Amino acid sequence: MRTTLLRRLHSQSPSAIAMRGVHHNRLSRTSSSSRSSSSSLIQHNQNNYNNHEISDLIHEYASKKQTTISLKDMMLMNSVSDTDHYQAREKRVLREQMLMQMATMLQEELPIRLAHRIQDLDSLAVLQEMPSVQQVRSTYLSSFLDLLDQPKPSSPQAEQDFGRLLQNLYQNHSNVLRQMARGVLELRFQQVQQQYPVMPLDHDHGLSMVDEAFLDRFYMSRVGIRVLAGQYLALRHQLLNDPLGKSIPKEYVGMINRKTSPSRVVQRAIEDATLLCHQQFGPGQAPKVQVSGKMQLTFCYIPTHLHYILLELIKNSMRATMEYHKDSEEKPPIRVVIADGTENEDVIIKVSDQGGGIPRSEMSKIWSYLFTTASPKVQQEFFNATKQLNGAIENGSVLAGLGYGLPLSRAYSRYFGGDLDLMSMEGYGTDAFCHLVRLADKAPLPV
Amino acid sequence: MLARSAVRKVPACLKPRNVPTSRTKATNRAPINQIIVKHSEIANGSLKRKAPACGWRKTIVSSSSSSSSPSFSSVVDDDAAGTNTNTPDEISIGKERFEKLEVDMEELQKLAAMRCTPLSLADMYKYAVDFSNQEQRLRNAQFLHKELPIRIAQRAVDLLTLPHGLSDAHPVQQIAHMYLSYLQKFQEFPVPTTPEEEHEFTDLLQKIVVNRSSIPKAIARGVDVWRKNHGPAELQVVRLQQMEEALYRFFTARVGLRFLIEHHILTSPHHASRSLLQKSHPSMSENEDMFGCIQTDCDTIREIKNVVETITILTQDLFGICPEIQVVDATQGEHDSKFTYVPHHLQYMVGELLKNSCRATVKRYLESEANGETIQMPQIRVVVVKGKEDVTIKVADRGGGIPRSQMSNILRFAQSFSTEDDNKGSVLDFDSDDEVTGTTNLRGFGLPLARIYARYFGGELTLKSMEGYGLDAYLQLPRLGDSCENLPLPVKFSPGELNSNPPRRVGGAL
Repeated sequence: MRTTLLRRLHSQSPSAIAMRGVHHNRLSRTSSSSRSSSSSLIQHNQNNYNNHEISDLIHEYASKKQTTISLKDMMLMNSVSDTDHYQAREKRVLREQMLMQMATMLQEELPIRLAHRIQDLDSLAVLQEMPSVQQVRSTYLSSFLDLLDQPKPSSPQAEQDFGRLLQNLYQNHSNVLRQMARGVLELRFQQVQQQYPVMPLDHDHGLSMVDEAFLDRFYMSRVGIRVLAGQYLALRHQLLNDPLGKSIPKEYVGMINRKTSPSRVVQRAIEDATLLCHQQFGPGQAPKVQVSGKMQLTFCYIPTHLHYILLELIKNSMRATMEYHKDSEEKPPIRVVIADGTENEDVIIKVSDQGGGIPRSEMSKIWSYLFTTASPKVQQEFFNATKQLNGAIENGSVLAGLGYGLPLSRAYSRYFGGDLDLMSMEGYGTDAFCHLVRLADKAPLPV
Repeated sequence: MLARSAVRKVPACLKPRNVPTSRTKATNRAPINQIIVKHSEIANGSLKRKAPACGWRKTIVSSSSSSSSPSFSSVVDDDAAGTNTNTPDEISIGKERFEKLEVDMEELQKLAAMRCTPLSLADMYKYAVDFSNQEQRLRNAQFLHKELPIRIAQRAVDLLTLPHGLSDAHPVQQIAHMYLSYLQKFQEFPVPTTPEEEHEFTDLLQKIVVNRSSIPKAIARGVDVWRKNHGPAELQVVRLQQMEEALYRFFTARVGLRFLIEHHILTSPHHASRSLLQKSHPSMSENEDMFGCIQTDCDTIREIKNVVETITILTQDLFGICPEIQVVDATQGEHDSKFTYVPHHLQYMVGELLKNSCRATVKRYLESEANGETIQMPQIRVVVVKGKEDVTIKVADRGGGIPRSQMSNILRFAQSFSTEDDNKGSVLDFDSDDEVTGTTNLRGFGLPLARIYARYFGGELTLKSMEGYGLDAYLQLPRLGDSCENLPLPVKFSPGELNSNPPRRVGGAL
């Protein structure tokens, strides 16, 4: 069964930990102390092992159980501020210890999660043959091997190396979304060419073969990995580079802001969405957004997630409104409501528009990672675009994208126990309900 | 004299090892030792049974006055009237008295094993068009004569074979018995072959419909009692779920049964046949475009406005104040598209939603006043949109909403909202008479029933709550009228495994 990782760590004796260190060293054939951060790593470490060894390793790690970590554990560093009253030197030692602990935990857990994903990907039927998806697999594999080769972060120096490695991995993986979406497009093209040449390009044949459940698991797991790694890196940065809290406000614990203000995040999302709307439909052309409800509310959450979700919803609403009312001067406003109440289980944000709604028969499509309302030509343009667009897509700053904005937003909401749902009134508009759980919970998070 | 059929004990086909489907789980269905059924006419003399012309070889339901049956009266709750003058041979539901009957389970199961024929709204409308077409009407009657007993038998079998002792539960027994008595009526009535016989058949149907208005009340009360009296918690969850599903199937089928019967009655050329039903159903006025229960061009706004008036009066009576209810028609574009539906279903659903919204809004307003805050009572907004596929009705209130963890409860039958202050009042809340007239007075049943009505023709009722703010209810009804009746999904242990309806959307479970 799942146990929290920290409990496992605490219960281990030093000798057991040392044994594991030996185990790691046995696997690596080259010295792994100094690594350069380049993407040639992908080839590099795969050459160290032959295929047989690789598949053995993957199998070994994938058969281990993934461990869930509660947010409380991630906010272990909450007690950072408790160290304020210590002397400077002691403070530093304490913080380094905390970071080492977290780094050790990550080094144990991340390979297991990556191995699970690789194994899952290998058992996937048609999609895995696409070149982009193979690239994704390769990225995952190299991260997996890198993590295994890395020595245990049991000293500040080793921990620093680990931090650097994780930074690289984090960046390498930021392309995965785009590549997976590209894989889906490749599959679609292939189906068209091979089997259904007379069908129009946007006919969604062949895609029913793709296992939606796989994609849900895959992306949800990715959210988890990135939250873990991202939190560690953010904490690192905060503790080591800004211990006095000069540039990062005190409410922040890594990526988590204990006083996230939905109204402020909504404002920022509105500004960003308006900008995109101007880009697409012309300057000065964007529907107004009215925000109401509990404007002073603050709660503990990760602001970047919230921003992604809200940007997605407001973006969609704006696009729908602009297209549905393209013949009228005045566009009906979009309304955002932040739910009241301090004793609530959830914080709820509702985004309503009058953009014509979605017919009930098509509602199931919007939650699929495979369908997009952008025409295939537009999608093709994305993939031929320059690298600059990569970050932009990852950050969700294109108006009609690759179709995974909504399901990914839902994955973000659900990751912490919340939910995202859409109710549509066909011929009128759509209401989106975003439930967010306040992050003080002890509940374990999905893997 | 009455012929006494032998009591069948645990027919072989009900024993677990004989149940054929691979979907059968290990849990045993309840053995049926004796079925006790109610009869609406206490027969003192002989009861002549006409030989049924529909081909049933054996009678399925017969009355007996055997005293070897266990005394049932001790299990029976008092009804509202408080009379408890039940003799061992009689049981009462509401004001009716029943006599015990015996049932031939094998035959019952065979009947239940026959396939149902789900009809679409378009079909029913088509059959009802011409009043003067006697032949068609006769054919309809014959179809009903064959179809209704199948549906009734399926319900009876479903209820009587529930696992975990649920089939012994009082409400379950009551309903099953009531249904079996109707089965007996059909059994005794020959297939109509002339207009006169058809007329009598319609009268028979009318009795059935008018008589059955007390079922939901009895069930609600029974479920409450059953829940409270029931034992260990481990089984509780499973049992609740089973009971939940059984009630869901039951009410779904019941909507279908009533609908078919009412439709047949209301399309009768004889004014007298219709009058009884129409009296108890004031909204079914004789419009030109009304055919039976169905209205070809349902004016949603007008119907909703009528409901708003009714609910406003009710809320005013109960609480003294009522929030303002605003009805908005947001349909853009084509106004000539028709919406074919059954008005009294629509009224029921919207009535339920408005009732809940009003109650929540008023309660919240009163609470905040008691706390010293002065807020203006927020209005309730009803938005109606006619789209290409659906007509969508949204009822949005600002009554404080419900926490997300409790959302699944409000759509359950077996979990009525009996809290402290609700018990002070009675189970009967708004004092309207009947489910038929537009609102239900049963706590906890209104919403699940409304959802069943919505799903019956392929629509959906969804509730989205914003805790601390309010609740939005979305009613989506297909406009085209060509979805088939959404009959209950196959019952696991029943031989009557039908799957003639289009796959139900899985979003949101039961």
